[in-house]
Amino acid sequence: MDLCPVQTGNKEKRNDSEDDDNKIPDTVLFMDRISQLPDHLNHKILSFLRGKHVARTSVLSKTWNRIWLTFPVFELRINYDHYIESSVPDPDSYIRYPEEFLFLVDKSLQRRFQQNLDVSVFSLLISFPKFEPLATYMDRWVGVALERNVTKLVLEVYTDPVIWYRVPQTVLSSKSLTILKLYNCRLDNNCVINLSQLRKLSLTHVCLLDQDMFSNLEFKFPLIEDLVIKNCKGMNRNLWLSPGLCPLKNIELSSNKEIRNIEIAATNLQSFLCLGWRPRVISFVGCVALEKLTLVVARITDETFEDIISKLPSLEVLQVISCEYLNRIRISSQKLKELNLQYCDHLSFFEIDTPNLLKIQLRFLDRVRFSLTQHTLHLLKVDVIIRLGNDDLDWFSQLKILLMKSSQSQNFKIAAHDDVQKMLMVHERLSEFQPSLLHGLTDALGQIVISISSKSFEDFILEAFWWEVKNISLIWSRENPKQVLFDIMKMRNEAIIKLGHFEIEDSQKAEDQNPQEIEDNMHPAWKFVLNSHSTALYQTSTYRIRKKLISEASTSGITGN
Amino acid sequence: MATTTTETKMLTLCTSDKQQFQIEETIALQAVTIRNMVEDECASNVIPLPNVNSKIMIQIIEYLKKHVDSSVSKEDMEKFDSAFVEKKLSEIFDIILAANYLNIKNLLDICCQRVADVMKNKSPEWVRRTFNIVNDFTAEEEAKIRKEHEWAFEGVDED
Repeated sequence: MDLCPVQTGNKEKRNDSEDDDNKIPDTVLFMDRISQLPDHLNHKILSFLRGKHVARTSVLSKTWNRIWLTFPVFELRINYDHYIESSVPDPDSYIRYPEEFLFLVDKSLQRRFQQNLDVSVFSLLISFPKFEPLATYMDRWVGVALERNVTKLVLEVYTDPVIWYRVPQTVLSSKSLTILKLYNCRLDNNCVINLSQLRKLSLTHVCLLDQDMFSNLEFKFPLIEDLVIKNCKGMNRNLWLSPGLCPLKNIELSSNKEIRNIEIAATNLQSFLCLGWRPRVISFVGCVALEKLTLVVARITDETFEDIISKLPSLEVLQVISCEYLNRIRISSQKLKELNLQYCDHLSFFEIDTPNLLKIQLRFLDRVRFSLTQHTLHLLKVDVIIRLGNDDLDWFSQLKILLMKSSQSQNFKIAAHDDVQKMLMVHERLSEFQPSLLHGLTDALGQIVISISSKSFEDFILEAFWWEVKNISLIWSRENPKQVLFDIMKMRNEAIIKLGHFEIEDSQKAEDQNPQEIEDNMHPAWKFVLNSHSTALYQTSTYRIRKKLISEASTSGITGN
Repeated sequence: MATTTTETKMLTLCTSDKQQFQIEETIALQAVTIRNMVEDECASNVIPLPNVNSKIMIQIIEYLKKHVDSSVSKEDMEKFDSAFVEKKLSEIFDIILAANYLNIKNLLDICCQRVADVMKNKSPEWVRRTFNIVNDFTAEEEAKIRKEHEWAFEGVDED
């Protein structure tokens, strides 16, 4: 559309500083296009804003006041203390007492409830000093939302001292709710639960006074698909979930102190996550559809682990993290595609017989012995991080041989870095890398961290920031420079590239220093490793990483050329 | 029209300014409105789109062509989307109306998100200026509404 500057639209003079805000490409539109959109599209725009920002639109104009009043999403995130802090300098502030604050929030909600329209979402995150008046107001707000057939209800309450908000009984027998999320709340002892439409239930820091809350799931939540129980109190020591005909697909149990034994019999279950507080026994009965299993800090033994795996015929993704009781495990599965094993400190041996494994992630399983039953692997993605000491090099050579069995091993890169020199080396081909050359490094610099991965050079570099390295050397094929990522190419042309608050400087091209300087400062052990890998086919480029101050990051341009 | 003899089925879209666009059917069918028209067979060879002009159609086709390509990674698609919405707000509004009419959910979402991002954390005065919204409240009315929502006005960015 051609915009003709018929009128400037604004009588007020605009500051020049506004024009500097380059996030706004056209500050002046010359006509009010947004208010002319149909209400449902403006509601859609509002749905991308959080509660407070939505409420602010009510003051824009009469049209916007109507748009706001009819917006069916009620999302309030109110922190009374923040409010008071920010409004203290204003002596005319309307809100001097907590009660008054609640009264006004209430009034503003009432005006919208008056519209008599259905409410699709009622989400309230409130942090407030006094529990008493708040609870009364909340009961009323929740009551009105339920009358208006609310489908998603989220309540998150913080008071000082902490008193858990008692959820009204009517919530638990709502016929409209499909999603219910509660934080810092409490459920009554003898509550009757009948949530006939509920698909997702999420309880975090909830006190369940009824220990049998999760028995007879099919009568209480006949349509439930997702169940999340985090940090809840008042749970049974033995949690038995048998949802019968419920379409329960996902279960997440995190940090529930009381639970020790878990038994799940859910035919439709697809994913199960158990995190923290060390449950001892986890058993699955008839979970024939379970595809994804995640166990974090579970106190399970080798026998329990093998029993679990043997009962899950559809398992495709297995994640086992920080399970300290595991010692020797064997995973045998035709279906398993993804395996993630991390930080199992006492694991000494594992054997895999998983011909269809595509992705493997192993982190900090130092010196664990591996055994592979099949002769070839078809791994597409590998992500291994290990710490190597002087005595581990033979073990590491074995690991390399094992990974090289994969038909895709030509895509695996290897990186090594140390904590003393803060030097990172990435070699494009794991196959070309010689583990024996690391002896000099581990001798001189102690432990080094090795990472073997199918990820791109770019991702290695991004990870390098995480390790806070100072210099990077990339060893890449002379034959096939196209393999090297765009960003590396860019580096070669521009001497410095910027990534977030970092700059990468090409040692060959930077003008403010001697090109030799980086290499001269390099530890001889690193120089040896790099020189040994620079062959007719592979060349090395070294870069220096500089961490920039934030102010610098926004002003400095690309230097070099 | 064209002499393509391949199996690629083409559709012709006719915009409000009577421009015709010939595109592959698989690309066009991402728009639910077009899909329904084709499925209900209520469209002949040429699909009339009286609510979309050619200038906007060109941009929508650019979007659809990218999104039909299943080889594009999720990250690259997100990069494309965020670059795609870097347009003048007036164009974004045209695309919102067209995406709504054609029923292309993700396109509608990213454009609405873009508008919401502009409004985020800004004072009502700033939003009025940016979108040219005329304040038709009297000073008293406005003060009354503001006081009612005083809790909502903390933490506004400096203009």
